[in-house]
Parts: sequence; C-alpha cells; structure tokens
Amino acid sequence: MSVGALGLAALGLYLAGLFAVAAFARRARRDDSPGDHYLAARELGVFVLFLTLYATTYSGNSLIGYPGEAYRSGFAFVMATGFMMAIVVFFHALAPKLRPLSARHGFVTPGDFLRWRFGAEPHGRALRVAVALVMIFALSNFLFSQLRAMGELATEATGGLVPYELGVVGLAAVILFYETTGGMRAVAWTDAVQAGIMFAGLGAMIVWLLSTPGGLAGLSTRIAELRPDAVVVPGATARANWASTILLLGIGSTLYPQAIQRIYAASSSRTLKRAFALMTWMPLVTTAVVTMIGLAAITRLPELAGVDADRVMPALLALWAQDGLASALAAVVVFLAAIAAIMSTADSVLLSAGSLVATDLLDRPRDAPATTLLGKRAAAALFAAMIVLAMRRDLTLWRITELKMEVLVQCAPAFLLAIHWPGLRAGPTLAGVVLGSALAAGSVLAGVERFGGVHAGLLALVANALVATLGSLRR
Amino acid sequence: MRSSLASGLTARAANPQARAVSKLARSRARRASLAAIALLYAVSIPWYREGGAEPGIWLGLPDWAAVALVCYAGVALLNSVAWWLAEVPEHDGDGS
Repeated sequence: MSVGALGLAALGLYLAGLFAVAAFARRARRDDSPGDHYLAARELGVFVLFLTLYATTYSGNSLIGYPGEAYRSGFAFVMATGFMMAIVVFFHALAPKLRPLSARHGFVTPGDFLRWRFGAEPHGRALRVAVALVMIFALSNFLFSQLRAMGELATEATGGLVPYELGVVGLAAVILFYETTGGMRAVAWTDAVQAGIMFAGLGAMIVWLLSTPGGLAGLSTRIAELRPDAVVVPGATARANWASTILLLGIGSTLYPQAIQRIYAASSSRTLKRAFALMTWMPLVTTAVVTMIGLAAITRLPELAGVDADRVMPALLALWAQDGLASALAAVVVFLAAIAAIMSTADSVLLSAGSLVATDLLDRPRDAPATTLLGKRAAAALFAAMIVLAMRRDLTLWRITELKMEVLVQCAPAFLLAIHWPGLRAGPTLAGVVLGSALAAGSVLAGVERFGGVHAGLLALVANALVATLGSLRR
Repeated sequence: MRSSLASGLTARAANPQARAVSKLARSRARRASLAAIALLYAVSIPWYREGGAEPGIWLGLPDWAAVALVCYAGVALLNSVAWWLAEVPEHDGDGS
C-alpha cells in the first residue's frame, strides 16, 4: 500500500470517528437553547475541558508554522514555549473573576459580560458591537488560515489523491456538520479525540528525531556547524521582539471568544482551575517539541534553507515515511495530528463566530432557540465566505492574517481592565478600542509591523488603554 | 493519625477566623508565585548576554536557550501552583 493510499484510509477512518462522536453529542443534547448549543449546558468536566482547551489553543499553525519558524530563526524560537505558556498565565487576570460572574448571570458570549458591565451606559451597546466586530474579524482570519492549511495538508497526507479544493470543501463540510448538529458538546468531544491524536503523533516524531548519534548535544553541535546564526545569542531587537511577543500573545489569546466561552462552559470553578493547572504544562510537551522538530530539520534537510521553510514538517514526514511501513504509518499519524489540530481550532472558532453574530452583533435574546438557529446560519455563511476565499491558493491575505492578534488585543481594556476597575466607562473604552484598532491595522497595512522589535499592536494597546483610563478618570 | 488530621482540618474549616487566615495565606502565596513567574519571564530572555556571542552547550542546548527552557519549566510549576491556590468562587458574591 502506498503512503498516499495509507493516508487516505487513515483520513477516512478519522472522519468516520468524528461522525460517530457527533452522533453521540447530538443524542446527549438537552434542548435547542444557546446555552446548551454553545456551552454544552455548562457541564464540561476536567478531562474534556482540558483537552478541548488544549486542542483549540494549538492550531495548525502550532504544528506546521512553528517548526518552519524554528527552522528559520534557530534556537531563538524557544520563545514560543514562553508565549504559549503566557496564555495560561494571563488568564489569572480574567478567569477567576469572570467565571463566577458568568455562572451567576448565565453568560453565553463575551458580549454578555460587556452587556452586564456597561449595559446601562450611553455607549454600552456601541462598545459591544465594536468588540464583536473586532472579534469576528479576528475569527474570520483565523478560520481562513485554518482552511488553507487544511487543504494543503489533506493533499500532502494522501500523496495528492485528495486535491486541495476537495480537501478544503470536504473537511469544512465535516466540521460544519458536527458543529451544527452537536454544538459545543460535539466540538469538545471531537477536540478530545483530536488532542489524543496530536499527543501520539508528536511523541512518535520526537523519538525519531532525537534518535540521532550524540543525542541533543550532538544535534546542537551539528546545527552550530551548519547554521551558526541559529545558535548565537539573539541581538537587542530580537530580544525586544521576544518580550513583545510574550505580551502580545499572552494578552491577545486570553481574549479569543472561544477561550472565554470555555471559561463559561466549565462544570465548576474547581474544574476550571484544574484544567488550567494542566494546560500550563502543555507548551513543554507541544511547543518545545515542535520547536525541536524544526531545529532538527536543519540537520536533516539543510537544502531547504533557501525555500519556504513552512514546508519543513511535510518534507520531514515524507523523509520519515521512506524508512519502512512502521515509519510510514507513524508519519501518517503525524499528518492526521496536524489535520486534527487544524479542525479542532476551526470548529471552535466557527461555533464562537456564530454565537457572536447572533447574540452580540444582532442583539438577539441569548436564551431563545431561534438565536441558536440564527447563529448556526451565520456560522455557515461566514464559513462559506472563507471557503470561497480559501479556494484561491494564490490569494495573498497573509498580511491581513497577521493583523489578527494585533487587532484582537485591542479588546483587552474592555475585559481585563473593566473586570478589575469599576471606574472604567463605556465611552472612553469604545474610543480606545477604535483608536487602538485603527493604529494597529494602519501600522501593519503600511508595512511598519514593529518598532525596535516591539509589535505595533502592543504600542497601539498602550494608547488604547491610556485613552480608556484617562477618559474614565475625567468627569 | 489520619483521623486526627481529618478532624483538625474539619475543625479549621468550621472556624471562620482560621478560614480567613488560610485564605489570606493562600492569596499571598499566589501573589508570590505570580511575581516569581514575572521574574522568570524576565530572566528567560538573554538580556544578560551580548548579542551575537557564541554560546556553550548546557543540557544539550545552547546555554541561553537552555536557561530559557529551564525558566519556562519553572513558570509551568509555579503557574500550576498559582492555579491551585486561586480563589474562584462558584457564583459571584460567594464568600467561599
């Protein structure tokens, strides 16, 4: 059996498994309310909550993009382990206060917190709409990049037997099916399956990569010989960028709507704390591992230096698959792990996007079954639009994709400041979000992404927070 | 031994003053953990080395990269402790 046929069979089995999980989730639902559809009736236990947080946080970019970046940047990319861990650190500023509020007031979307916090103020509704628009923009970008990666990987995993377009449309249809039929329950349960595949794939791959003569020290020495720039101490700008990235991703990722909704969906506060305590270790067994994979590729595929390094992972897997049937099987599992990582992020993003459009943007009641239906339709429409964009492989939207975190982080004062400071008012917060988003988007689109290594979005956030704070202090 | 420990814990849980002291101690320990995490993040970035310098090998990695990973392992440990110590009431307004 060829590697392509093996990949196709494995993909078919995997998708059949997802359908089965979705069918179970469908049967487990209690009613058609948004609370049941988007939050699984707030009954996620430690194990499922942890795995769904894990699978949602680690996207296709983590498994495909990070090895490529490690290949390009060298050991300086150990910063990725730090910034992925920073997400679970920054949640200390939000989750302990947001969780009890959500349980008491029955929050379903991020906008529900804003409605509770700013609802009675003159600019409360406008702030909620502005935040929803920023979040939907970020989610659309996220969805677009996941679809692109999904199509590319489906083609790679099956040796070209599944064309790119079929990969995008087919896998998107599967996601849409289980997301609309099973809601958060289906998404969380399939995330758990997908997280298991990711663990297995990465574990197998790191064992293969480190089984080189001389072990880790031998690998580092060989990299130093081939690429001295990959091991030297990073310069001042790179160090500033390291610190800036930790702050940007740490703050920005706590504001992902799908992450906020998982805080709401936990069955109890104790469950949430335990899931976060487990999540904090994941960068060491995921991000550090994919970084090492990218670095090990420098010694195995030094010829890739001049070409697109994002293809490091597929190229390594193709190399690995040539070692025999066992290696080919293991390589297929890693490919599936990457597809699973992408699908698990895309499904959560889609679920959140639907709820944001129906509840936060269109202001429909959060406890009505009609809102759930509207959310499903909105999610399907958004997904269809992104699928059409993703069909154009030549379309260069990566710069807009880069905007995602820089713009999303502008919602920070509306949540992180508002939850701790009762004096924060809706009007100045709205002005801050608008100013920060315009500055961040303007800088990135003008090609000025960093100032001395510091992200433009982070500097825009400082201006945003100043406007919100000083405006609220002025009476 | 085990039953006396359990009865001691039950007595402490029943005593509001002891509970308040324990809550304060947990809150201080959590804040100390978060401060230590911030310090580890600062140390993880090789500010202390000259840019472009050739490193030695430590734990199989360039020394500055190994220091960063050791710091992040410390962050993981302290952060799980901080989450264990975190006070997250079930409902807004709960004293517990």
